[in-house]
Amino acid sequence: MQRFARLFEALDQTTKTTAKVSALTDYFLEAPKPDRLWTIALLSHKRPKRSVNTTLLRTWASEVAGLPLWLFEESYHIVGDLAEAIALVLPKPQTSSTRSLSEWIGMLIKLTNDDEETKKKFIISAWAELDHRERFIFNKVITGGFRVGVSQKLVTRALSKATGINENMLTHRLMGNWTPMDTTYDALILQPLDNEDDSKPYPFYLAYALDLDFDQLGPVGQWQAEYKWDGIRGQLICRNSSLYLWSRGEDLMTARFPEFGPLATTLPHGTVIDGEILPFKDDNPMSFQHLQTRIGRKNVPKKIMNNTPVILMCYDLIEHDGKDIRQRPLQERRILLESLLEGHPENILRLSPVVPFSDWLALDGIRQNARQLHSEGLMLKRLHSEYKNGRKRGDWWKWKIDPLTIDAVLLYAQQGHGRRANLFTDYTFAVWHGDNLVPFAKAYSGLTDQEFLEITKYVRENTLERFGPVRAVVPNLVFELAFEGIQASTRHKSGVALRFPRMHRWRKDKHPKEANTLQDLKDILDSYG
Amino acid sequence: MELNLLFYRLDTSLVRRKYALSFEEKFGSFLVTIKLKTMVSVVILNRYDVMLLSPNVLLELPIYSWLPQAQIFQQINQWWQHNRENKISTLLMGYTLGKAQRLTSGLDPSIGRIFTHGDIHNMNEVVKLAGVKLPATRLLDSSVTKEDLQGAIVVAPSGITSSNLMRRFKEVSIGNASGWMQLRGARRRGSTDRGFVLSDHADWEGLNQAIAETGAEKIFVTHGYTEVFKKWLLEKGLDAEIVKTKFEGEQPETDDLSENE
Repeated sequence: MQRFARLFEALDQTTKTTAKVSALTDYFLEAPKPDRLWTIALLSHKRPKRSVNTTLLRTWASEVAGLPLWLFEESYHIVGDLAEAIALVLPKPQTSSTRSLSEWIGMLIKLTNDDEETKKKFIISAWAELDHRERFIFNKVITGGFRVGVSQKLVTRALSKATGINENMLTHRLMGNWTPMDTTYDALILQPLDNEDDSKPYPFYLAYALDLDFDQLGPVGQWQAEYKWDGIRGQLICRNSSLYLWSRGEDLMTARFPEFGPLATTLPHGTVIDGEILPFKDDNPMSFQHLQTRIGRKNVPKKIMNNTPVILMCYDLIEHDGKDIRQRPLQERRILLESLLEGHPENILRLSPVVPFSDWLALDGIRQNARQLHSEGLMLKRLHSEYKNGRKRGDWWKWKIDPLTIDAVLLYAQQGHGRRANLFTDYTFAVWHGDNLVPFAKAYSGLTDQEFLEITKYVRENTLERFGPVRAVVPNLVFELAFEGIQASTRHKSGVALRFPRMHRWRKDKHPKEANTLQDLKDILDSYG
Repeated sequence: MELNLLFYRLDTSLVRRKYALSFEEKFGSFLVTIKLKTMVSVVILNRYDVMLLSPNVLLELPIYSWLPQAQIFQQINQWWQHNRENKISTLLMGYTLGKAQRLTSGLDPSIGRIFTHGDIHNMNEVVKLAGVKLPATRLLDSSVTKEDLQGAIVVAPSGITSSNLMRRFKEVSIGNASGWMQLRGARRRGSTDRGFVLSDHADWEGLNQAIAETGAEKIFVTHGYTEVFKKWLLEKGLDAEIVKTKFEGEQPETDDLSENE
């Protein structure tokens, strides 16, 4: 555990990628193999099944620390992390332990089915022999959520350095539902998979938001316009009768969307399509909210597949007949894509339609109405553009619809977690209904650190009431909230649910009485819901 | 026992006084009991140490407990040494009055040269006038080059990382010394490389011990987690009351807005 605690500290102490990779690489070279495997698992947010619930942990921690439970809870709210709060209040350890990370985890797993007394005895004796850093790790293993600013990518890069195995191959080997309980380091990392090159995706070409004037774009005739669809960007790969669906975050999503499975045998070998996974019903895209029922689900029940069918809205063809065609101009790739899809009338692959236009102003009009199609706006692509690597300016632009906005009053504030612990950063906003304020949205982002500091100060000086960690504040601050969509909701008091609400501006110029009303919100719902 | 006291008022004027008081070493620092007529933060300086005892103690939560300062200085010096070996400059941040002098005194001059930021240099001069011995440091003026700073340490006021100062280094590792560094969230938010838990305030244990040893029957809580601390004292059978002040006192996230610890 000491070794892993040192690694964690090294990762936590630096913001520099190179330093993180080098700390990880050293660890992967030195640590015992079972520890390496568990480290990879923990850093990819895989953890053992929770053997002790957090209520018990809190009770025992306050008991051992000699504190009333309420005082422990208050401390926890300030720290913003249960594992850390427990590690901080416990008395100093009496002995030390040489058990490794995987040994400790093994003991925790064995504990799962034990009775409460046994669990309590084990946990308390573990705390007594672990130092502050190790306790934090130990608690984190139980509670989960190892956020230490290390992406899967960094782990893979370090593993690649330590083993000499190509990064992409490792990415593929690390995919899927493995757990350290049912595999070994050698089997997972060192053994090659069959056809492992087949799954390899291309880097996605990403666009910047349009920040040029129309005359800077040049003649209209050089451009192709498409709708910007609001789903999950994906790359569909078919090679040697195997199908792989990658997300932009290099997550392999094939199992999550089984409806694409049959394409493995119908698409020609060596086909790679860039597109958007969209919830789609009765010939129309559904709102993004529907897709949320399918994200993060590893097994998809029939019922959910029926309620939220998906398609791939195809934007581009980047591999054709086994050949990388990214250097060929968009208009040629488009023709190949169209003929490929003509031969595949399955409803699951659809061609992203080209939006015809003759001048920029007319196109702007189309863009402003895009919300009605559950689209986020438009994409502009130069007809001669190649398919580039990553986010690049010049040939592709996204031209989104302006967000919907509403002026709302800050009603409740809560402290954030992690980096934002001790700062009041999580807010609930309300609109007027007669003389009452009706809460309708929560927002956490969009302000500068300086503004968060200022509001935190305001919250502290203007608290009306406390409900645990939540504070009701004097309703004096007005914010313009921006959001991407709106839906009727029976779960919310206000009757609406917003998509991606965030703070657009702090309207210091506005008196709270000038904020919008519930009726205004309902009018937006009628227009765009 | 007689000590020279240096008062640091909120208006930043410095006042020298002599006070007779009793103190004893506890928890690696000094526990001092003193009666004050006015609400001032007090810097107590003796030949060996610099200490700041503040009546507006804000850390009334059991999550705050300090290690002996010798251990913290060992961590700081090891970090500096490590940076020096890697030809990296070291930037150590702390409050200008009290913390900066304490830090300067704890650095091991055998590792390398110690530079001070202008604000801290000026404060050090004042503190030296008060008869406090500080190790030899060099002002970080425009004549100091990037090469001079390689392997050296610079002591600077906290929250200065966004300023021109950063341009003076080739490569730098940044540390912050404050009680707030106890919390991982605060360490990460500061976007410094290292956080050293070094506070001029009493920790939870120290605070409770101080209350026990004064024998006070009624405690007025002025700043910080007042509700929590009052409730805790009441449960222990003491009488406690909150004195309403306009501010809740210094909080970790306002570090860079206020210099008053």
